[in-house]
Amino acid sequence: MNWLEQEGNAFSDLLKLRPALQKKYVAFLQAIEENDRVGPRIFSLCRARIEQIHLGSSDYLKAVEAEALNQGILDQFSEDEQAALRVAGRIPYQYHQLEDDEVAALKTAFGDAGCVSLLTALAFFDVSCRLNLTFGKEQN
Amino acid sequence: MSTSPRVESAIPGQDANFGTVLSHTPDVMIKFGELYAEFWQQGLISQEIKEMTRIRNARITDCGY
Repeated sequence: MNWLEQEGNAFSDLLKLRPALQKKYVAFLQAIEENDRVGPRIFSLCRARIEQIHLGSSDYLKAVEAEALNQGILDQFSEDEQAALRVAGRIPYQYHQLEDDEVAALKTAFGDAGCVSLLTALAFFDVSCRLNLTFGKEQN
Repeated sequence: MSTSPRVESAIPGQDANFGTVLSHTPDVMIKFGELYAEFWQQGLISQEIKEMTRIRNARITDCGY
């Protein structure tokens, strides 16, 4: 999942100027990923959704998934994926509208530890997109 | 912005707060602490400027903390 190592990732390239910071950032991201409650598919979908919100599209979504998410139609996704995607959709610009029942759905799907892992990941997916926009990745 | 925790404390007998909730994922908490320390204590930007920008960001995002 280490999205820092994507090609063309402007922030990743710049972070190489701070090797110690990069090392600790990578270690932090790996710790998030190495949980036993939230699988890679959930992380990948949520990262792509947040990227789609910021950039207008994401290379990590199938066309049918991207269209469904743009329309707010989630029924092609599993219940766990839907719970995660609803919260992911809030993070970039609707974080104040995050509802208690939406977080409760994450706890039901992934347990408290999984919920914490996922929410932390969502925040840093958002950070990564914003940093890439700041450092030069073009918006579609 | 709500500051009421939505996840219970991972530490029995302690109230839910940032640290006790993050304790559900001990390794994440440790690595975050190391990252945060590196960010704040190292680099060319002074801690004063970092703190100033942190506060400004918190005001803009209406951060409850």
